[in-house]
Amino acid sequence: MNPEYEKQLEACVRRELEALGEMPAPSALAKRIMRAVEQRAAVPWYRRAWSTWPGSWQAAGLAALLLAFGGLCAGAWMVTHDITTPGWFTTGVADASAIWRVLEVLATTAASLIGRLGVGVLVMGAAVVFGAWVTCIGLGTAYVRLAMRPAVN
Amino acid sequence: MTDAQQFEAFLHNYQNMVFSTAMRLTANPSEAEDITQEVFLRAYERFGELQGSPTVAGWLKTVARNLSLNHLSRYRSRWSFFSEMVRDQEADDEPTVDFPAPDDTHANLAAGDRREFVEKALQSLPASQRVPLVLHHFEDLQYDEIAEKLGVSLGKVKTDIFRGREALRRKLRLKLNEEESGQPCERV
Repeated sequence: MNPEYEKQLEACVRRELEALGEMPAPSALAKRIMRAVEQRAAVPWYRRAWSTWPGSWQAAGLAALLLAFGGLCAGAWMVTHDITTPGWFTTGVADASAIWRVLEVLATTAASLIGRLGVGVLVMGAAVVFGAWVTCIGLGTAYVRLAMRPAVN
Repeated sequence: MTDAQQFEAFLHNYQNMVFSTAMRLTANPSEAEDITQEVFLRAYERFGELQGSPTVAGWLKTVARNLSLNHLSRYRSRWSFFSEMVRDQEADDEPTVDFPAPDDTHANLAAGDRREFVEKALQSLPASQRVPLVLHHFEDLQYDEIAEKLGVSLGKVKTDIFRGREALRRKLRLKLNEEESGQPCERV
């Protein structure tokens, strides 16, 4: 690249672009934004972003979050240090183990079912899934190319 | 004046600036409108602070720029495999104008038409060239800042900006002048 040419090209393009100024926003955009603002204003404070909550509720939310995090850390520490856990905690762990056992049984059943079906059925199933995937990709590509191509005036 | 009226006046003052930033970066009117709306919704949440601030224009421009760049990296990468790569190649291979520009008239276009013509030429550039070019010329970012923002090498930014300028020069049919002539280029 010739530095002199580059410099001249930059000056030339800069001149063209600086002459542009601002683009006018579509006339309907302001109305659309004001409608969105009104809808946003109608949303109760507790359903908006935390940063927009009233100060006292922000503090309360932060305190609750810290408490939950502290509880989690304390719980983990109690479990790893073999400290006697409260009854509600033991019940919770027992419930979680029961759910885990059910999932284990379901997984074993699925594995044995797949084993009985045989390789042929599995390969066919995989082929059908692959075919469907390729079809989706093909249709998606065609759609994107048609929809996103630049308009020809 | 109620809060809503004050915000509406604020919106009218800055909507063109925000829309221009989003439109030039995304080159897509509906995406630019969505981004403009999001910028003003964020501004609404902080309207109390922004209202009298002297840096409000800079704040709006920065939010618009960041949202546009996020949008480009988040959504465009999903379908770039199908479309953007093709456009990039076409832009490199094709030095011709890809929108209507009658040979004998465009040199004499009225100022408004000329602006539209240049905007269209800019929008027709592939994103890889348009985005760094817009960031440099409209957002006043240096090459190294652009490289950092886009997560690409400094060399790539320089090359893309050079290619973008060259493509724009061809599309606008600009002829570079001899150095001593005073004007950097003229419309042919």
